[in-house]
Amino acid sequence: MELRLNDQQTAYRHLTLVGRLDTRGVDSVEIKFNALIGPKAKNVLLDFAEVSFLSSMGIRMLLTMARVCSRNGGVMVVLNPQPLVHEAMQHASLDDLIPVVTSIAEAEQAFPA
Amino acid sequence: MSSKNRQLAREVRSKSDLFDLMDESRELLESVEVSPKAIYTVELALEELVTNVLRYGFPENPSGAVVGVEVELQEDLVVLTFIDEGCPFDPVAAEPPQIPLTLEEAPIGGLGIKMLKKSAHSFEYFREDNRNIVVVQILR
Repeated sequence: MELRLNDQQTAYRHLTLVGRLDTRGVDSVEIKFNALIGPKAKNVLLDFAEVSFLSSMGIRMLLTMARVCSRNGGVMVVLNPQPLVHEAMQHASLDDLIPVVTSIAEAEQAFPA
Repeated sequence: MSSKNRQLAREVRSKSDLFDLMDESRELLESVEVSPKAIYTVELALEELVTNVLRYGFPENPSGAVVGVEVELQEDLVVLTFIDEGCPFDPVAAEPPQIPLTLEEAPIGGLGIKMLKKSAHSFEYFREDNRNIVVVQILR
């Protein structure tokens, strides 16, 4: 599992995840994920195009950070999940809580000012 | 792994064993005609059900936790069987978490079983000879 911070100059955090977000993936990336986003995170864009698998452990990591964003008045948005990953989010009833978008422009519209 | 009967059977005692099993299962399934969706569901079942047993199945002796897992390829199905001698737990009967309206209400636990119920063709539990037996059938 890889995690990259794309751009610190924007008004939001833009991160790219690559690989499988399962127990093994979360074990390898969660500390870095939390450190890069931080407790003051408000708006976060997670590029999911290269995430091939999402289990409940990955969802727990996402929910925890989405709550941080929400408490800070912002939102965490997932960009371009693969179909099976998107379906897993829907099966977990997550898609209403963590918006899924198909473009950066759409994500930027979803972010509160 | 036997390519003749297309079956894989392992005892899993740790996360490391689980990761090895997931890798071996993926290799087996990718070598035959199994849809990407079926492979996804198999991996979800392996991760969610094995992790549950290792974490919660042996509260008095967590380091002694072990679950037997069999992956069997049938004509139209992938059949997964999980057997453990831990405390009784019926994942099929477990109440799914309510659909949350807000992030604060969103449950952390129970999501894996909920996801699996929506993806599997069938999901059965038996309690026999002080063992938990879970059988998951997944359409190929």
